[in-house]
Amino acid sequence: MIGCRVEKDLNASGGGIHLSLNLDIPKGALVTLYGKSGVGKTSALRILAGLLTPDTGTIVVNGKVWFDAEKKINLKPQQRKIGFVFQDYALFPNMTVRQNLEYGGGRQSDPLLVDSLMDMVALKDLQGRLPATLSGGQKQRVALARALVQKPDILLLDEPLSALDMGIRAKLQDDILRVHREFGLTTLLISHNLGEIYRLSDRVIMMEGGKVVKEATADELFADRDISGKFKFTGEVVRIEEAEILFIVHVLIQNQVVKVVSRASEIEGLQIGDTVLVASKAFNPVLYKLG
Amino acid sequence: MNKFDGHIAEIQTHEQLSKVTAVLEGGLRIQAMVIETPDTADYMVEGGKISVHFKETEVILCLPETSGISEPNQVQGIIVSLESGVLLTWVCLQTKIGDIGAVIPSDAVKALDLSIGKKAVACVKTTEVMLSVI
Amino acid sequence: MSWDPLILTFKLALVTTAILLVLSIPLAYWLAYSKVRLKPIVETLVSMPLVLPPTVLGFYFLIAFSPRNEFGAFLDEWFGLQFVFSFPGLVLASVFYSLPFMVHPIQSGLSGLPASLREASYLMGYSKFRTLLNVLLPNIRPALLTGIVLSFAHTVGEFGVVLMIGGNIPGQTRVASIAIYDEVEALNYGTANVYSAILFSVTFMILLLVYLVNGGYLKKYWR
Repeated sequence: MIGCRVEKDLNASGGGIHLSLNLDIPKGALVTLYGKSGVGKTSALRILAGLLTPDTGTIVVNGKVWFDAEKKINLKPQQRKIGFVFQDYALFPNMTVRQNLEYGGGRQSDPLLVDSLMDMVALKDLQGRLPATLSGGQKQRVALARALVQKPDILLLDEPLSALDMGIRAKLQDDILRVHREFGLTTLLISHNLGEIYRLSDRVIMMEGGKVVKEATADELFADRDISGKFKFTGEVVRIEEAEILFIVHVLIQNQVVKVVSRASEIEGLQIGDTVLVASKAFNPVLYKLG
Repeated sequence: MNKFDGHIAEIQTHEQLSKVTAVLEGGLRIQAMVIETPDTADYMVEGGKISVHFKETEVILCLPETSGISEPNQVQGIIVSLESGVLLTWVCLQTKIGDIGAVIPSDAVKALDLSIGKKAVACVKTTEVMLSVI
Repeated sequence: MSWDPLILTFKLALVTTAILLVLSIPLAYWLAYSKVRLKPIVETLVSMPLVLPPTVLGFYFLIAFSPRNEFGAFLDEWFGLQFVFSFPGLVLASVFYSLPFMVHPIQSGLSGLPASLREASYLMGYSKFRTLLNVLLPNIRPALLTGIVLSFAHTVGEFGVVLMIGGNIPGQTRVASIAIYDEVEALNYGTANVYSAILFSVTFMILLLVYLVNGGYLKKYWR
């Protein structure tokens, strides 16, 4: 259980904002921080990790005080047991994949855990390689595995998948979900991608101008629940094709692609990669028993 | 997507289904069949502000003198524009509730001799009308 | 012709570089990461030898460490240190004079590393010192090499400071650059030429090596 009630003036470029966080995150939850850039999402993660010191407030994790401005308690990042996956991955360029993981385990690195983590995210073949020779997806997997070698209680991921293309992203989302469950982690994730948020998070915390403005499930927050169609899915636009006076939009829902016919006016502003709600009346689909 | 604002005039519920009659601007009544009852959805109250939605591809066009259609949702109008493809044609009908778009087979446009300025009736299946809260 | 000035020159450069390396890493670390308001002043002081005539530096050293004033006398009396006209004095002056050549590459190497590297290491439980040793320094090897070589070469080439504080004592403070000046004064152009040619080729080789290594031209021969 993370209870975080802190305030901080941030002098971000382009005018400062006042960060005012009030978070309660249950143990074992996977929570996404969502909001435009510059609203303080990364700062929120950095405050939890101890890389940024709040002006006032308290942070209590599992009954232990990590930060208390009045009592002058401020646990160092070294003492917080946090796995952090940076946006730029922060792999150590001078160490091989294996050395990165071993170093990540701290002074008493557990070689068995290093092995099993490398298996888990399929890094065994890459263990002797230097980070500079890896692809984006591979670096991401190393960063994820490395964050787990020290067996953290809390995993923080700063836009972990934003730089990757769609196919790899889906695979890494699976990895994140799997380690989250297997390690019993409390995970906080920053993401802009609605599909990703739907897939991964239990709760979504929406931030605006340094404040939490809404906290809900992804469904409550994003799906237009007021439309009466009962045949509703969220998916990702993968292709838009012209067909006579209409357009055919290919939408990836889970791992199947469906096609939706649309008018030009409806798909204005729609781009590949956008998350969409596909809705239809329940009267429309037909069912066939399989097998 | 054709979308028109109005309010709920009548709700007839049986088991899980409801037939919602909405009154749109101009007094036209449109019916929608939904899997929802006043118990399951907050917006299902008489007088509630809603929009009705139906896709252009679900609109049937017929000539004014046609009789005996199973759908109560019928709106008469005048064709104001046509956009033809090889197989499909987009027809825009000006009606008292606003412009209604219909996508129908290009062959049918020829068979019914539809052209700009002619009268036509747009029919929408009750089971294809969706509702949303304004 | 005596080899002494050449040997002395390289001995001085070697000792100076070693001291500078030990001194500059913490200084550069502080300059790269500290947010203290005092920083610009320290940065300015470190950079001063770049623009100051060497004779100015040498002059102040001469004044400061002269046994005739209290500070110089104190050092002599209590520690037996005589910095004027002695090899230790040469080393001390050279350390100051070449300081920016060691500090600047290391400082810019450190501030060029993404902050996330340090932070990741802290979050793994490592202290700042261990992080410096295991993560930061290994990743600024080119900057370290540049610093070492530039300091070495710069010390080899210094003249004014050395002349002011060291004087011209054969075997003790007469380094190659001064010996060349001497020989030219005495119209021994041949000897001056030999000293010059050796200095020229050695510094050329050293600098060439840096550019080859940092440019990655020698990569295929190691690793």
